[in-house]
Amino acid sequence: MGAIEIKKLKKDYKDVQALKGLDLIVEEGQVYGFCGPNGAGKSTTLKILVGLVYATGGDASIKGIDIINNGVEARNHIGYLPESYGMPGWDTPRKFLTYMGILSGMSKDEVAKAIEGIASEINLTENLDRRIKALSKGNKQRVGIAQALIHDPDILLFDEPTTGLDPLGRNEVLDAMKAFADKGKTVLFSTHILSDVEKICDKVGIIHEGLLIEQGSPEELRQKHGAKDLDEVFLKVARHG
Amino acid sequence: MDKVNYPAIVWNRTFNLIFSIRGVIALLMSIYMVIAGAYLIDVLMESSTVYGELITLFNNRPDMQFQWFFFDGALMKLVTIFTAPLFIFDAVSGDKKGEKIGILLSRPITRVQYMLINLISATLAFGLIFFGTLIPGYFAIQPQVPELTFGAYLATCSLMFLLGFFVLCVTLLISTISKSNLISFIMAFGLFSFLMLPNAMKYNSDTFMDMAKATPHYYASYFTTHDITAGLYVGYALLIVIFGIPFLALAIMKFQKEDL
Repeated sequence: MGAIEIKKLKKDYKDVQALKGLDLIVEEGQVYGFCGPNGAGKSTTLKILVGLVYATGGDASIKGIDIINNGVEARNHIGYLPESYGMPGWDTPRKFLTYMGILSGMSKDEVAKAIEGIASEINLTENLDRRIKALSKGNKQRVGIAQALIHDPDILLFDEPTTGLDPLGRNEVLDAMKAFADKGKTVLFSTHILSDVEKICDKVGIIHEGLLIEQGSPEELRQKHGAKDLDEVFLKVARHG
Repeated sequence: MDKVNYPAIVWNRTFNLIFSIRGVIALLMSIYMVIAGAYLIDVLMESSTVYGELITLFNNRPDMQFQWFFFDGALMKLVTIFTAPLFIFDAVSGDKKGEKIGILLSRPITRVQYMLINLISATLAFGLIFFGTLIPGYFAIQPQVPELTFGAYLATCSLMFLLGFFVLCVTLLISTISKSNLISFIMAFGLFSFLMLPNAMKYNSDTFMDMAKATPHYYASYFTTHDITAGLYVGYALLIVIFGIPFLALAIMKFQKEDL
């Protein structure tokens, strides 16, 4: 059984078919790079897994739990970082993370302990008591990652986590994701920065117009398409649909 | 992991609402209501003033009865109707516009729970400020109106609080259907200003009176101009709450179906 299983997933908006029967399996402990051009359906897939968007067809499960009929239980296992998100600027990361922990069913003591642990892991300790609005973009992203990790989920869904960060910030986020995977967590992240994928992913899936059109390890995909890097693979695959 | 501790979540949110700019505005409005109420009674009880003549004029109307409730209650209504929405007008629209909703709803809570957390927190925040200023206010008003009992005073305040609950339910629906905080703000305050109009003018026009009767605001205002009877109070209190429930149900149904 895969940590994440998606079968024939469909999503129709008013005049657009965002997903046309997507099939995807992410194994436990895997770092899966979910790539595709803008509007391919990456964010929609992640939002369906979290329960923010309703699928119009197909099935999806997290650790064997059907997310459509049992979303609350499935979300106990998920840590989600949206592509863009807001946080209460006047709050400190500590206060914000405490609220997120309580919302996830943790006691105050558990949250306090978890905050210290995660903060030291992702270099947030010295900013824990500053106002969020005073933090740099990279540090805000650290707070975003911390809220996804606060309840110690098994599966992390990150939607374009490195977009807009400088190379240093990007590397830190990628290192953090790799570290989570080393602890046995499953990571599914969407991106169109393919060098990020090459650095940390065990497996890559390329989605185009709502369908998964290519899948494999970065090495397998390079060999299959006779390409020197994933950018070249992506261009070949995306151009030919 | 333990089960989600809803009282802690609600209290956390209530605390944030009270200790915010909106909380300060609501507190100031509430304090103003008490001071102005006490002052008005003081002035109006003096029959030698112009206001005193006005009271006499009112008392000549067969359908009118002057009581302290009329003036203080009128202020209470105004403050209730324009204070309560402050706590909830941006509850859903703000979370959507501020892109906080994705993070909040990725937690193991249902959308219904999210809506109820918003409503209960806003009701608590409004109630704490409302009763927190009105109950001490009794001791400012009572010396000027010796016949005023604490029970009668609390009954009027409670009816106003329930009117506030109705206002919160309607504003939650407005917040759910609005695309931005500004639209939600304008819709909520515009609607309640409009609602005030027939209620404010009902003594002078049968048409307006009929319109006023169609709103829960009327029932609250009815009690501020008439003697309170325990049985009737319960009935009207229920009526006001029942007025609010369909709006709450609509808000939840709309939010349940929505792709975020």
